[in-house]
Amino acid sequence: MIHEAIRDLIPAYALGATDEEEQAEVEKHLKQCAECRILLADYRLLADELLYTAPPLSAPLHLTTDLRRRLAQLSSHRVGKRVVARAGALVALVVSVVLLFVTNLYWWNRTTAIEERVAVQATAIVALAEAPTVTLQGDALAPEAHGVLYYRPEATVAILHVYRMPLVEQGKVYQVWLIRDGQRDSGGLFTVDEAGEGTVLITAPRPLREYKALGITVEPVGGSPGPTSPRVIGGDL
Amino acid sequence: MADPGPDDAVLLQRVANGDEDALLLLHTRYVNLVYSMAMHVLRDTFLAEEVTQDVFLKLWQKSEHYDPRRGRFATWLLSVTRFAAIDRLRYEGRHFVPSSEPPNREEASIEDWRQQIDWDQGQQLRMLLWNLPPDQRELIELAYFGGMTHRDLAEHLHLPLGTVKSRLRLGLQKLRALWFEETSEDQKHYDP
Repeated sequence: MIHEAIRDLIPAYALGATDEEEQAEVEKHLKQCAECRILLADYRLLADELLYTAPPLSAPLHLTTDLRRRLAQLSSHRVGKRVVARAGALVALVVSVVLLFVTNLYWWNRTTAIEERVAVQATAIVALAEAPTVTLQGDALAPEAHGVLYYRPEATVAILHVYRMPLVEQGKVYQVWLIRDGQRDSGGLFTVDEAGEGTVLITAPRPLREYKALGITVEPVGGSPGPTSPRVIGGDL
Repeated sequence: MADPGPDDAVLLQRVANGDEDALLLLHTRYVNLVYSMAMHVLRDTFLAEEVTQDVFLKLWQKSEHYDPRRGRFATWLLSVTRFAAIDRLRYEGRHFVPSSEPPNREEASIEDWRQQIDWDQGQQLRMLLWNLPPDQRELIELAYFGGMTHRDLAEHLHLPLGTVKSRLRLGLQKLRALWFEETSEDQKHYDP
């Protein structure tokens, strides 16, 4: 596109009104045209000033009280509010997981050994609905991410619910690592939804009391034998 | 004269360190400005309140996103509010409705507002918007406060794309000329 045509687009570009292809043309041209860069700077000043043209209103007084309340909730327990709201859903989820687990395994193989193992795991999972919780906090890669782990030290299963996790690229999943004496055992794989939320049933090779911490990394689908990327979220057990 | 309190940069540093009182001071200072922008875009009290609170909570969680080298804090905060309100407008499946009434000069006398940074200049510009032909002003408002591109505007107003482009360009060129004239006059007035 020629200089004159791009120059005509500068006012709309400063306002954010250019369509995608126009935007690309303008940005390409700006790299080599000082005149258009100066013109853009002028129109950006105008666009900034437009921010102050909204008719003046007084905000409702309760907004200050509401903000105080929300800050108090955030600081007392960063995930408290959402966890409480979801507690009922989580219990239902636990029960559903147990039922699904038991039903599937029952029809898959009726051997006594498996039935005994299912019974032990089912008992452990149901107990998790009332289990103590551990809060997990996102690392530098995902400072907003957090999670709640429901577990009993004597059990080998636990439930983890995570929030605000970054979305992983195609071909990748999250992998849970249970850490003991410098060793890392895989606790399971999971993905998160568009809001960055996900729930995973963790199965550990040893009772959870033997682990000192838990971490989550991004790994290829199918999992890795050991972590291959930085920790996204974690916490001490 | 009342103590203006700590400046924005100091308060933002305190917010980054987790100081809730600092955030509440910023809230007191800018809540009217943020709420007015949200209301202007959304024209709905409930939605505007939600967007206002979300903007301040975002500031609490991500105050480091503001880069002082890129301009004043108030401008950045209003820009964040504008985008948040436009996002909400789209989420609700609504369109921005341009102002139908010219500015009321009495609004400018609201005492709380006279303290606001850039308030006077912004309201002068608002008056100038109303000096433009209505079809040009409507396009500028729809583009800026409604988040519409050339193509969106053509579709929304059932106008040919070329007409939208030239009308928006002419409106902005005229507004810029009026604005520079106005600010030059102010400059003359203040220069010794």
